Amino acid sequence: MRPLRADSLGWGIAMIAAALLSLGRPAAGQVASDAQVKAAYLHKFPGFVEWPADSFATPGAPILIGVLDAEAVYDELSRQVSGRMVKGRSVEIRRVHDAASLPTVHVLYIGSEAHRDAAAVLAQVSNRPVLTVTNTKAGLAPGAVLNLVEIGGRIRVEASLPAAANNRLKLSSRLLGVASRVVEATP
Amino acid sequence: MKARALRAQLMRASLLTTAAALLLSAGLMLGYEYFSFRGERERDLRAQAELVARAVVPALLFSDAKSAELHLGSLRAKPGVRRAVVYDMTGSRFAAFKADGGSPEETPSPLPWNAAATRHAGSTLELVYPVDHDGERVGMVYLMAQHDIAARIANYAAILSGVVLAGLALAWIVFGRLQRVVTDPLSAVTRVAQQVMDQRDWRLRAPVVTSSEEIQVLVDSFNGMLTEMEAAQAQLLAADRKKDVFLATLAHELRNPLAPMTNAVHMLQRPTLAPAMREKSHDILARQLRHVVRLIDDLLDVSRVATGKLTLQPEQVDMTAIVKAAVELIEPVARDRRLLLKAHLPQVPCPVLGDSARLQQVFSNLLTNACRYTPADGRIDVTLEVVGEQVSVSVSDTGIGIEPSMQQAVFELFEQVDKRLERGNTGLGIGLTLARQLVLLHGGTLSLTSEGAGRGSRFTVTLPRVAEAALVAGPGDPVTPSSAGSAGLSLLIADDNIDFALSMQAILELQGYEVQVVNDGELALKTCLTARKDVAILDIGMPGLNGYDVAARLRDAPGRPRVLIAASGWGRLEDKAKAQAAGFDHHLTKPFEFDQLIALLETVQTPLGTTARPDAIFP
Repeated sequence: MRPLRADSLGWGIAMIAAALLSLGRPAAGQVASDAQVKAAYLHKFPGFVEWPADSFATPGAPILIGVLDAEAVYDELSRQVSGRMVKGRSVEIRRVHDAASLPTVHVLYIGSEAHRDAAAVLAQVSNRPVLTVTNTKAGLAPGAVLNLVEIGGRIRVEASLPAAANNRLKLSSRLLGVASRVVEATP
Repeated sequence: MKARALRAQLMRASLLTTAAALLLSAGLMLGYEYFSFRGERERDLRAQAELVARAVVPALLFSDAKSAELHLGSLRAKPGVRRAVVYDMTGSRFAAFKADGGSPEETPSPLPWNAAATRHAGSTLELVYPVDHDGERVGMVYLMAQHDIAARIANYAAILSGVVLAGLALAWIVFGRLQRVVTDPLSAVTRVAQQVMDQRDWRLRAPVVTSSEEIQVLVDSFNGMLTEMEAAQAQLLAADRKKDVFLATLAHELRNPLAPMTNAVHMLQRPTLAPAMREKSHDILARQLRHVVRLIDDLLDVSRVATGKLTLQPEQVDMTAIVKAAVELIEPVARDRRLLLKAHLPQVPCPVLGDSARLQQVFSNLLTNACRYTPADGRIDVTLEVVGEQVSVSVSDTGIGIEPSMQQAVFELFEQVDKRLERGNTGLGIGLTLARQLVLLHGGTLSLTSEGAGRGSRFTVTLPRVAEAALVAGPGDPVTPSSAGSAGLSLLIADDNIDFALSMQAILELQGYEVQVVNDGELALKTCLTARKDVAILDIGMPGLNGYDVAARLRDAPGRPRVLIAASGWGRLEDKAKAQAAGFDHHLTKPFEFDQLIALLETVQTPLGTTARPDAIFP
C-alpha cells in the first residue's frame, strides 16, 4: 500500500482555494437555501448561453441580470456575483420593479411573485436578446426560455428551444443535457 | 584431471558472470516496466477523469445527478475502471458508478474528496480529480481502476526468465567452445609433461595448436624446451661416452710406458748388467718418462685452454728455427719407425710473433701424429713457405689418411680416427685439439686436407708474418750453454721429497756441482744465511717454512745465494707470479728436464748484471 501521492504545495493551494471559494457559498454540509440555489443558477446560465454580438455595446461590456420581484434572490445574487467573471465579463444586477418599463438586460429573472404578469412581461422582451428565466409551476408555457422547477427536493431547469430561437439566443447543448425538460422547436 | 578442474572453474566463473548480468538486466527491465506501466495507467485514468470532470460540470451546476450518472455510465466501456463517484462542493456524493453492478453507494473512499490525489495500491489505482468551471471548483471526481499489473509483470518475468535461461544456455555453449580452445591445448601440454616426467622420454611433443597466440607460444616453448632437453641429454650422453673412452685410453696410455720402465728398472737392479745394457735401460727409462710427462702436460694445457687460463708470452721468433728444432726432436722416433722425414726450409728467416715453446709444441704434436699414423717405410715432409703475409708450415705424410667425414672431428677433444685400443701407441686424441687451439691463440689457422682413408694427410699451419723491417735480433735466440766453468758452484737443494732431493743431488754432483740437501724450510733459510751458497733450489710446499717465505726472508739478507730457483709441482701463471713476487729469480715446474736446470745453472756463472733475461721464464 502506497501512501497518498499529494504534492504538499498543491495540497496547500487546493485547501486555500477551497477555503476562499467557500466564502461565497454555503459551507460544506449546510443545506443551501432556495434563493441561494436560484441565484447561483442565474449567474451561471450566461456561461451556457450565446447572445447575438450586437447585444453588447463593447466586447468587455458587463452581463446585466435583471431581477423582477424576487428580493431574496436579488440579495443573494448581489452577494454571489461580486467580483465574479462569466465568460470574461463582469456581471451586474438590476432590481426591476416596474414590469412596464424594463431596462435593457441580458438575463431577466421573473420571480414567482410576478408570476401572474409573467406572460405580459415575457411578451415585452419577445424578439429581444434576453434570456428569460421564470420560476413557475406552469412551466414554459408562458413563453420563457428557461424555467426553474423543483423536482425531488432539487431545483431543476426546463428549457424551451423555440423561445430561445425567438430571442436569438443559443443554448449550449451541455445546458440542455442537464435540463429536466427541453421543449423542442415545432417543425 | 587438473585441466578438467580448470575447465570447470572457468565455466562456473563465466556462467556466474553471465547469470549475474542477465538477472541484473532482467530486474532492471522488470522495475522499469512496473513503473512505466503504472505511470501509463495513471495518465490514462487521469485523462479519463478529466473527460468526466468536463462532462459533469453542467450536471453539477444545475443539480442533474442523472446526467452525471449517464456520463459516469459511459465509463463502462473502459475496461479498467471499476468505480466512479462525483462529489459536489458540499462533499456529498452527487453521482456514482460501479462497474461490476454492485451498489455504487457502498463505494468507500479513503481519499480526501476535495483535493487532487492519486493512490496506487497493488493493482488498484485511485484518483481524485477536480471539477472546475470558470475558474471555480464545482465538485470532484473520484475514479478507481483495477489494472493487470501483476499479470503483466508475471508475463514479463516469465519472458525474462526464458531469456535468462536461453542466455545462459548460449553462454554455456559459447564459453564451452572458447574454453576448449584454451583448456584442450593446456591439458595436452599437461599430459605430455606428465608423460615426459614419468617415462623420461624427451622425444614426446605436445600437439601444435593454432587457436590462440599465447597458447601457441606456450606449446611452442614447451616443445622447444623438450627439444633442447633432448639435445642436451644427447650431448651429455655423447660427452659421457667420450669421457669413458677417454678414461680407458688414458689408463692405457699411462700404463703403456710403465711396462718398459718396469723392465728397465729390473735390468738396472742386476749388479752384473753389462754397461751397454745399463745404458739402454737408462735410455728407455728416460724416454718413457718424457713421454708420460708430455702426456700429462698436454692434458693440463688442454684444460688451461678450455678454461681460458693459458696465456702466451709472445715474442718475435723465427719459424725456421722452431720447425728445425721440432724436426730434430722427432727424428729419432721417425728413424725407429723406419720413416723418411724430410724438411724443406727456406733460406730466408720467417719471423712471426709467437710463443716459441707453444709453437714448437704445435709442430711437435703434428709430427708425432704423422709418425704415429704412418706405417713403416712411409714418408713425412715438412715444408715451410712464406705465402704473402703469411708463414705457412705443412706436415704431410703417406699415412692412413682421414675420411672426409672425420676431417672436422679429429680436432675435437678425445676424438681419434682409430679407436681400437689394441692399436699400439694410439695417443689420447689430445694432440690435434691442443695444436689447433694454440694456433688459434696465435691468430693463425690449422687446416687438414686428406684424400681419404689410406691416402695420407696434410696438416697446414698458417701464421701472420712479421714485416721484414720489424725484424730485430730477438731474444728468442737459443741460449747456447757453455759447458765450461759452471761446475764448482755451491748449490742448496731444499725439498721435503727426499727421493727427489737425493736424486737431484746425485745428478748434479755428477755434473761437478757441490750440492747440499735439506728437507725443510727452516733449515733451508738457516743454511742460506750461513753457508754462502751460489744457488738455492727451493721447493714451495715445505714443512715449517714454505718456499715463498724463505725467499721473502732472504730478499735483502747479506750473504744470501745469488740465485733463487723455485721448483714446484704448481706450474700455473699465478704460481709463477707469486714466486717472482716472493723474490725467486726462476721458476721450474716439476718434473723438469735436468737439461733445463743445467742450462739455468750455466747462466749463473756469468756476472749477475748480464744474466740472460730472468724474465724468460717469468712472464
